[in-house]
Amino acid sequence: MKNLKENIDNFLKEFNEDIKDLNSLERLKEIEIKYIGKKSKLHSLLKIIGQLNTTEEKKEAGNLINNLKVNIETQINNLKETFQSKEIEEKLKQNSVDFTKPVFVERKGSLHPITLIKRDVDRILTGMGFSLVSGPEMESEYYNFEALNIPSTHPARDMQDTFFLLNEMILRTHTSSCQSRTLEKYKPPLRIFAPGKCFRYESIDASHETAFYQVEGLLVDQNITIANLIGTMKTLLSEIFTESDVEVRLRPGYFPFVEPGFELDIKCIICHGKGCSTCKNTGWLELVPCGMVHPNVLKYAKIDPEKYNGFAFGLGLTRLAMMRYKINDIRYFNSGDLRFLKQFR
Amino acid sequence: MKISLKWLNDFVKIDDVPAEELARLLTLKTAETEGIYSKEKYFSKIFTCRIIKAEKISEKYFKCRVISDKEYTVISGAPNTKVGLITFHVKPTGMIDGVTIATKSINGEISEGMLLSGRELGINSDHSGLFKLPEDTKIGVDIGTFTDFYDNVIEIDNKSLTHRPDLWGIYGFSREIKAILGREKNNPELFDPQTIMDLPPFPVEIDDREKCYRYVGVKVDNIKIEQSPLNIQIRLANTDHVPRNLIVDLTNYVMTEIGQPLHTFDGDIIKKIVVDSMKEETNFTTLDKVERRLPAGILMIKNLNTPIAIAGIMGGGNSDIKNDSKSLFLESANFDASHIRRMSTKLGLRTDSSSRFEKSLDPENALTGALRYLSLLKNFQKDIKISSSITDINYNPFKKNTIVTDYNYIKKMIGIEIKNETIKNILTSLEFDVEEDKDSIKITAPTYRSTKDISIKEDIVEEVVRIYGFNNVKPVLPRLHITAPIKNILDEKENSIKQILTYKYGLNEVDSHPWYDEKFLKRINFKLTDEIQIKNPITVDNRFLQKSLLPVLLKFSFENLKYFDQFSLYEFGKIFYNNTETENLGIIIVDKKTKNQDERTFLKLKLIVNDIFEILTGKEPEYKTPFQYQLINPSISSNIYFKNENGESFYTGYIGNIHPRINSLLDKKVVITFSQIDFEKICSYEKSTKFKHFSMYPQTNLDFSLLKNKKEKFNEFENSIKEFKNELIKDTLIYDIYEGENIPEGYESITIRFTIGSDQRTLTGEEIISFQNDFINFLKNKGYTLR
Repeated sequence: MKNLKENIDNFLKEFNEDIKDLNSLERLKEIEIKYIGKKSKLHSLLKIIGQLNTTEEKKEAGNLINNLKVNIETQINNLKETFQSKEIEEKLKQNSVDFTKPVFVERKGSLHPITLIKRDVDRILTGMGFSLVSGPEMESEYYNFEALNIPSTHPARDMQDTFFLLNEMILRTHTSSCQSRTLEKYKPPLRIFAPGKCFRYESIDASHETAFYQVEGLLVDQNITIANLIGTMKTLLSEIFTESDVEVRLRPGYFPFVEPGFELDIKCIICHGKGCSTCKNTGWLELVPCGMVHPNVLKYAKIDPEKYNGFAFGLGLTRLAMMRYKINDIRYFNSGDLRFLKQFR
Repeated sequence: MKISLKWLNDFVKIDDVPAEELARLLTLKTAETEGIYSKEKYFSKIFTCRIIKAEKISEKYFKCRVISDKEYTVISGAPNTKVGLITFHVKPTGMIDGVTIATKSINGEISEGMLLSGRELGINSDHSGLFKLPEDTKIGVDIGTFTDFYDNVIEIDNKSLTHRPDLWGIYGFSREIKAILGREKNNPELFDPQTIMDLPPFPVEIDDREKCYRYVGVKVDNIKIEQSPLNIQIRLANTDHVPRNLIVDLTNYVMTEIGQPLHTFDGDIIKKIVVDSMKEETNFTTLDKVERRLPAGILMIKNLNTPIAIAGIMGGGNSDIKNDSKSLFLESANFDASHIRRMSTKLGLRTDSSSRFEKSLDPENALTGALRYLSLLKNFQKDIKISSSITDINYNPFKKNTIVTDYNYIKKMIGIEIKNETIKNILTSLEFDVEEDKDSIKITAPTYRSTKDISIKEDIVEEVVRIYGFNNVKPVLPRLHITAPIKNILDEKENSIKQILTYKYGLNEVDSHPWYDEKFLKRINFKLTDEIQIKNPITVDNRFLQKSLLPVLLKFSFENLKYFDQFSLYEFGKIFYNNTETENLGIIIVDKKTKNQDERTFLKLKLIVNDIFEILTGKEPEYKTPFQYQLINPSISSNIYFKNENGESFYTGYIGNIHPRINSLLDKKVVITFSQIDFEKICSYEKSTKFKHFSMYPQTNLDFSLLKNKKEKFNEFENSIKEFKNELIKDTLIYDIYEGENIPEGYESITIRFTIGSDQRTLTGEEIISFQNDFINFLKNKGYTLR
């Protein structure tokens, strides 16, 4: 027994001596084999147990050896971890990347600003329960005019506003042409919006284009009020301009397919009402023509105006894009000019 | 439309309301105001004066002493400068049209201020001499104290008045202001027709009653052609008219005041008025001395058989008031609005008169117009002799519109609580007649609101809510039911493909006009076929709707090549043919030309096209035969077909490099590849994704590289490889295509990767070797060499 204890002391002494100047993982592995490996000193100590007489002694000896083994193992493992993390650190140091190095993209894509603004309006209106519908760009005079209560004698039908085609069709002058198409196809109650390209026969300059985008909104249900129209527009515009509460004002406006009809202005987003060049010093921006759906429009679509009513509104997508991105010339939109287009992602 | 506030004040007291406030109220409740012109911002210190000394000091100049509030020395260059002349003088530091007049030296002499012409005063266009004032004018008086010179004029956007025929005169606005401010209103003074009832009527005959509803006429003798009183001239000038003589000025005055266009003929010429349409085209010289070609069917005013005016648009040069006219015949009529609008558009002749008549004026105003004119004329020329009774031929088709509704409807539509009495008061202030019944109200609109403006109960709602004030309506979000959304597959798919093209392949989205640019088409020698034609194109080069997206994308490429060497564009756009339109996707890739770039760019685009098809339909399209098109290289192109579940192939577009003859137009050496896909058509195929069980046992990849003669078409090669059948094959993939070093001329090395395995077990080494041998034998038999 005494012999065993001495042996253990020596064992530890020798081990401590060995690990003192340890400088590599390889050496540690050798030490590991030497002390706790299959043919190690520890194994030779175990042989001593067999030579002992009493069970108590054997038990005590077993405990001592086991403690020694755990002690050595723990020390070796700790050392191993130290070495390994040192090694990883070493590797990390050697293998660094200059994160300021430039990267190259062969081609950087872009989305047309109209697509970007349309997605935003889509998201908001869809969230408010409106469904997206589309209609043709080459439209009949019926859907573009008659069905919207614009008879053939109305000034809006003059040559100067509309592109007429030789096949008796026209290029739609507004996305309002989707109103009757939708009312005929889907019966009320309904909430739709129709984004799309429209065409006006007018001379092109920095703020006028022959082809531009609008989104028409239409809600037909029961007991809809002017207060509902204002509430919906206020919510929609607050979302579009990401302001908690856009200030709006209504003015009388005349559009044959609504009655009453309004012009909805928002407080100028540039000067906040103080007056600037954008709002022509009025403090207000004319933005949304809107109104309560004219009973004739419902009648044309064979809907009883005594039972249903609703409101319609128009948003100029091109105009919104110009406001959002501060684009000062509408002609860029249809120019295909990459110097313009590449800025929108 | 210009509203003189001094003039407006004749009818409703507003001189205590700031012009800005009036403009704001009109904008919010009636019509959009575009601005206010305040004359005092541009003119000041203008006084009446008399020239007491005039000494000619040079060829051009007079040195004058004038007396105003005191004496001044003024240099005048006006030919009519003479002693005794009464005119206007602007004192030093006064302003003329925004320019401050300082004491300055003219021709070496000091001039204190300036003597003024009509043009300098902004009263008329006369700059031939000094503005002459009558003998009895008080001297040294500020122009503002005895005239409406320093007026504020509110300009109204005419577009916001298209539906309001009653607002084409200042008096009409007084009705609105009366309702808005809740004030009293005066009416213009009218001549009493009773006093001339006994005179014989003037012969008037309306033959075309569809186009002329009412004709009021009266003949006045012993008239004098003279300048209008100063304030009449000033009022007309402030509302954008050029004063000429009293007889003509008063027609403009009445039109500006009550909105009724009038015309005066030389009374000695007119024997009998006949209102009728022209049976055939004719030439006619209007009073502006322009000879015009008039279309058949146009309504004319005739003197017996001779046309003397284009009804409602402009008088003729053969019958208007001349400087020596002694007598006048006054016309105050009412015509069919759409006829006037059509004719004015056709003739390209828009006048103050036509732009009013085309709004559906109130026929009642025709009589009022004549009576107002007579009252004013009699006021200024006491000696006139009215020589006919008021002749009034009236086939007025309009009546006062009556609308039956109820207070609850009006409140429900607006969405607010508002007192019945308030509603009634608003309507009566707008001169509507309101009769209350037990459950309903009967509202009668005044005649001037009955021609087109007010006809249904919704119109009444508008009247109430605008005067009540939109800002008094509290916004409320509607409470609505949940309904199923309407699907829009095309839009959804378009969005997802845009995302891929832009962010995966780095393409730039463009947008364009739907019509061809024929200038560019000529440049690339593009032949038109049966494109849909635009009747009124924006320019002669934009006559046809596009039948292909290629020309516009090519044009954009040409333009962008000035700034960029390589880029890729795409557009989702409509193409038009056979009277239909379809949504197409056009993609164009421009690459710098290097070795093999023709093939590389072509394949780059082919990869994108394949990806689009896979995303939308779950499988790749078929490339069958070269594509023949005027702008496409026939040797580097293909039709794109899509095979549906039933195995039927449909044409869905094409891909191809641009014809070399187009490249030769460019300075830069580039390869351009284009593809057009019928997007609507491929969106109509449903993609069906179903889960397939995969083997739980390991699979093995086996790669074989072999030589293929480049003359053999790839799809033929693939088909012959497909002939190799083995049940262990899970997947076959062309893994690599290589040519160059170590590959014999005319050949390319193809690496095929088989993925083999079994659903029941792990394959043994023997099975794998046996598969290899089978395939190698197969290749030998087919005549391919393994590398």
